[in-house]
Order: sequence, then structure tokens, then C-alpha cells
Amino acid sequence: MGVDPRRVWLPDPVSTNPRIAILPREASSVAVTTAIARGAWAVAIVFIVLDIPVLVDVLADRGLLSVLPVPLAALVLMAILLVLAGVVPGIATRLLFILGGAALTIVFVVTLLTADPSLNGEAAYLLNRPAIALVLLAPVTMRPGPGLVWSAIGLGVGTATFFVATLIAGLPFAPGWGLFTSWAAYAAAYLIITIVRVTQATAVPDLSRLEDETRRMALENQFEERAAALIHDTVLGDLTAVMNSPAQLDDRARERFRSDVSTLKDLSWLRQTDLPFAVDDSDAALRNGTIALVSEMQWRGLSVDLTGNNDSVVRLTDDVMAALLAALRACFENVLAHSGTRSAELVVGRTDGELTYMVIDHGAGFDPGAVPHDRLGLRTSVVGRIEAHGGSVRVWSQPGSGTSVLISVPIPGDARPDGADREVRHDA
Amino acid sequence: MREALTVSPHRADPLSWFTRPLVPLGFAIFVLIFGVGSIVIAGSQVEHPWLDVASVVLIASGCVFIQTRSGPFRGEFRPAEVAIAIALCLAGLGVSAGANLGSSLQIQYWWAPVGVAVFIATMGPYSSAVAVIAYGTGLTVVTAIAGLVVFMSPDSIWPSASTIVIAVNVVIVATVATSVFCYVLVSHTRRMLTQHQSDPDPLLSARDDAVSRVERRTVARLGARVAPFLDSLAASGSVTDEDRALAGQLARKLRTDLVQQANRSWLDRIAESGRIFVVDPDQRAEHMNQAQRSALRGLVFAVLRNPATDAGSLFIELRGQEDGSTAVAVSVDLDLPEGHRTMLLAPYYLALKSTVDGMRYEPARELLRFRLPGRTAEPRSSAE
Repeated sequence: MGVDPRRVWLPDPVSTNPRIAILPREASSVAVTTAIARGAWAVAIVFIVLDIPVLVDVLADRGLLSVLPVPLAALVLMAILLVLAGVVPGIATRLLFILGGAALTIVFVVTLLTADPSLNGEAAYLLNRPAIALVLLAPVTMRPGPGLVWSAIGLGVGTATFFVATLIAGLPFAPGWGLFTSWAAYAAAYLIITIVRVTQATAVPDLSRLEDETRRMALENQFEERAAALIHDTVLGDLTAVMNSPAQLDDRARERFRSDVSTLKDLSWLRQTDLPFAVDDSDAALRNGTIALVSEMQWRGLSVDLTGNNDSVVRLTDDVMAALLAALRACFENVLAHSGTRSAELVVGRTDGELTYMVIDHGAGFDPGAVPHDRLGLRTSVVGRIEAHGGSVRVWSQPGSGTSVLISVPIPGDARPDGADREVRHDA
Repeated sequence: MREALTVSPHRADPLSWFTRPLVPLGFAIFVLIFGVGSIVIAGSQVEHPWLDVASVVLIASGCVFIQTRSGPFRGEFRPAEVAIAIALCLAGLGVSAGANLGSSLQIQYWWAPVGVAVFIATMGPYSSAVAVIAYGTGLTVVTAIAGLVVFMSPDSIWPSASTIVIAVNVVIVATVATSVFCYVLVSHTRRMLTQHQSDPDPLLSARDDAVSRVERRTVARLGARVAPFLDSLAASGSVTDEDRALAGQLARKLRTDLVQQANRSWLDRIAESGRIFVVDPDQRAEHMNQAQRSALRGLVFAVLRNPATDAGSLFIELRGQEDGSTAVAVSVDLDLPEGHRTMLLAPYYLALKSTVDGMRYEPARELLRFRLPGRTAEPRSSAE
């Protein structure tokens, strides 16, 4: 299902998100680790880039601009290797940066210390930047453990490189604190992530499990509705038949009883039928509206039996739904007002491209041809409403034989055989 | 791209930052230790050490202020709160500059830029990448000016341009690191959430379990008395007056059971487990989507399973509003200290907040309130 990326986290309104917009903790930890590694990679580049103006300024101040090209080239090449390691992440580019960076660091330090030995110690800030970049080289690891290992390798290589460089220059080893503090900051960040991951395991709810349970509940609920509908359509009808039956049951009735009881005992039909596709209740406006209407009519004394195909999913616009519900209400009002009966049946169905509602009562009935033209009830409140949205209404009625009203509305974009193009949603 | 620059990590993944409530406090402690330690090591090189210690306290209090404004039940930082935090940091920077005016300290040993850098990092989780760049740029400029004014001296080993770069180096590093962190974290979270939202539904494997439970619970219960009765009638082929009376009685009972089942919302079913009162006269709970139900269920069970909850003290009320929305109030009665209560409720509060509108918590009344919106005009799918 396509998801509007703007609605993925916490937009307004957030209530349209199909799932809780919070990552599982393991995924969140990966995101944080990746972000720290990328931040460190960017810092390494900044260290190299900001060392360039200091290099130029210091050499110019000491009259040593003639030696500038070599250390400047070393810094630029290191920056290129850093960018490469970040853009094309992998062990190969990382090793290339470590080895190439180590060699370039030696060139950088030796060149400067040879030109001005007084830089050793007092200008460690200028000299140790490339070595610090080696510590921050773990740009693409997604787990704290490997990140720590790679940064420790960087610390070792950076320190050794600086040592070799001062040895070549014949000067004392004075790398400053920059190398170690950079590694300590990096390691502390990974350590915090590890601690947080452990504490989160107990403090944060398992939202995925909660969602799975909720979906399971919704699925069970749909099975229950299906089972209840079957019970309603089979044994409840059988009991009514028994209440009104003669002393002797005919063979057909006995066979139906046996068949219905057998269905009730063997739920293979529940397993074999299509998996109910979990439609979000909040998204089933027509179903909810229909049930509310039936419930309201029951309170007003009209017992409505709801039967038919009750597990299709169709997509209707709000105005069609509103018209359909209003027409249904008008039909029920007519039954209450004119039929003289207190029961009706609502049969829901679906044909190719059409959703159908049939309201049946076994009351007084009427002659459709004899309805005076000044009686607008059925014509405007049912026919007019439905035809305004491309639907149709058919009425069958005779005095003394009850009334049946068939309401059909087109399903947009639904022209294929039944079931072939169900819009299955996985929201639930 | 734009969202990744303008959304804060806290907003993209609130649970991560709720469980790290001491991050700003940790940074404040680091500022105190590092700042005071640097001043002690510098010794007599600092012109006014006690004034410098005061600047340490000011920047650390900026971090503490962020801590106090970033609780799980608070919303996004307001501009006034951001301004106060930055003002504390700038005040610390200014006081430290004053304390070092005329000192012989080399600029690379000046602690204040590190304090400013830590302050920027503290703001990171609660700010977007763009906001971090804005704060960082401003603080970089001020730090550069302060460094140049205080440390530019003919005796310094660093020429003027180098002095500026060294002064702002760590501030720029913090700005870049924090903004990249924010951007990568938010974009990565977004990408994974998109994937998470479209993961295949795992329900297929649960079908048989669900059927078995329905078989045990619903079909067996509803058909327990009816099936033997119909079996006996089918076998005998005759119906007596007693059979008709019993059929009427069973039909009424069955119909009542079916109606009760149809009228029970998912929240009513949870309430059957006890210790929870639900007031939902219009069955508005059925309007909640799966994400909202999951989050609310998590909250309900977390509270009910806690031994500090009074029996039957969880109260949920859903009321329709004139605009079609539903106002929901969840009242919990937890006999816990404030801190423990916050730690218990916060993850569920944040999860629920990610699925509803207008979420807020009233600690004094232990009341959570939120809103479920009404219908939109978009086409909807409808189960017949």
C-alpha cells in the first residue's frame, strides 16, 4: 500500500496513519548508530578542511609559504579519500583511507617539522588534525561494536603515524591530546547507545507485538461476525420454523436441520472461505452507518434482519454513501408508517459493478400505479436520491403481499466479475 | 529531503529521546567538569578564574534548562524557550571572554568554545538540522569575535586568521556533527518507517488460531443447546408443544446473544477483563483505527498490570463532538511518585500521541486527553 511520506511520522493529522509511527527499538538503534557514524565522518572532513586556512596562515606568518604545496596536497588528498570512504562505503574504501591517510599524515607532519621544528608541541593543533581524521574513519558501520573497533584501529594507526613522523624528523613525540579526546568522545557516543539499547529493552513497549495482537483481535472479530451471521441464517431460522411447524416435520425440514447442525459442528467452511480482509473499522463508514440505522430502527420497534453478502469491500464516495443511507432510512420509515408489520429484512448484495440493498417487508403492500402524484415520499426520498448518483430503484408491491425495494448504486471502477477486483486493504 | 531537514530527531522518534532523558543533564555535567578542570589546569594564566567558573555555570545551566523543557509530556520547543537557552549560553560565553581578557592563555586551551559546542549538541535531539545550522552559525560568529578580541596578541604563536579558526573550530565541528546527525537520523527513520508501514500483513499465519478460538468461544457457546435440540427433532420428525416453547425460548436467547455480541466494541471486550470502566454511549471506540487501538491497548494494559493501580480505577470516556470528532479522556489512578509515574506512562503516551490528535496530559488529575477526528470528504472503502 502506498504511504504518503508526509504522514509517516507525526504530522497533523496523525490519526490517518495505518500503523503506529514509531520504529521498533532495534531499527531505531540502527538509525541512531548510523547517524552518529555519519556525523563523525562529517567531523573528520571538517577537521581536514579547517586545517587548511591554519596551515596557510601559520606558514605565511613564519615565511615558509614555499613548503605549502606538499602539506596542502596531503590535506586535499586526505579529504578526497574521506569523501570516497563516505560516498562508497565499504571495507575497501575504509582501508584505502587508513593506509593512504597514514602515508599522507606522515608526509604532512614530516614536511612541516622539517621546515620548522618549533612547530612540534606548541603547534600540535595544526599537526594532529590529519591523524584525528584517522580516528573518526568509521563512517558507515551500523552497529556500535564494529564502530568502536574501527575507531580504535584509527587511534592506533594515527598515533603510530605521528610517532613515525616525529621519528623521521628526529624530534620528540608530542602529538597533543586531540587524538585521544576525539577517540574518547566517539567511544563514549557508542557506549551510550549500547547502554540505552539495553535499558530500552525493558522500558519501551513492544509496539510491533501490540499491533500484531490488535490485528489478531480484528481478525477474530471478523470470524466471529461471520460465525454469528451463519448462526443467524441457519439455526435461528430453524428455531423459528420449529415454533410455527405442524406436529410432523417434512423430510426437507429434517434434512435442513441436519445440514445446519452439521455446518455448526464442522467449521471447515470458516477455514476454507477466503480470509477476511481486515478492513479498518474506522474506514468502514457504510457498514457502520447501516448497522447504526438498523439498531435505531430496532429501538423504534422495527425488527430488521440483515442478510446477504457481508464481506465484500467496495469503495464509494461519501456523498453516494450518504444518499444510500438516507434512502434506506426512508424505506424503513415507510415500513414503519404504512406496512402494518414490525419486521423487515435488509439484503445486501453485490453484482458486477453494482452494490445492491433490498428492503423487504411482508406487510400491507400497495399498488405502485395507484400512488397519487402528490405523494412524494418514495419518489423523492428514495428514487430521486439514488438516481442523482447514477443508481436505480425498483419497487415490487401488491396490496396484501408486502413490498420489496431494490436499490442499486454503481461501484466506481468496478467492471470485472465479482471478487476479481476487490480492493483489499491491509490497514487492520 | 525537506522533511529530513526540518523535523527534529525527537519528533521523528520520540521514544528514543524519552528513554534518554538524562542526555542534556549528562552534557551539563560534562560542561561543569571540563570547564572547571580546564580552569584549574590553566591556573594563573586565567585573569579572573572565579568569573570563568561563573561562565561554566551559565553554559551548564543552559543545558539543564533544555533538560527541564524536554520532558516526555511536553511538546516541541517553543521559540521563547530556545531563546532563553541560547541566551544562557551566550551569557556564559561573554562572561568567559571577560574572565580571560588580558590573560596569557593560548586560545586552543580556552574552554568556552567547547562549552558552546556541547550546548549545540544538547539542543540537537530537539531541533531540526536547519535549526541547528542556524543556532550554530550565530554562535560561531559570536565565538569568533570573542576569540579574536580576547586572544589576539603579538605574543601568541597563532596569527590572527588561525586564532579565529581555532576559536570556532570546535563550534563548527559541533554544528556540522549535530546537523548531520539530525538529518541522517530523521531521513533514516523516515525511510524505515515507510518500509515498516508497508510491511506485509502477518495475519495469514494467524488464521487457523483465530478460527480455533472463534470455534471454542462463539460457535460452541451459541450452538451448545440448539444443536442437540435440532438433532433430536430431525431424528424424531415430530414437534410437540413443549418443543415449540423450547424453540421460542432458545431463539430469544440466541437473538439476545447475537445482538449483545454485535453491540460490544473492542474496548468493551477489554473491559471484560475487569478493573476498567468504559463510557462509550455511541460506540465511538469502533471509529478508532488499528494503530490507535494498539497504542491505547498498550496504555491500558501497562496501567492495569502495574501493582500501584487502584482496582477499577482506569476510566475511559468517549464523547462525540459537534464537529464530528470524538473526545477521549483516559483517567488513571496510579499510586506512584511523579518520576516513576512519568517513566511508566511516557512510552505509551508517546506511542498514543503518534496516532491521535491533540494529545495532552494533565498530571494533577492524572488525565490523558486526545481527539479522534471526524470523517473526511475523501472516498472511503466500505465493508458491506
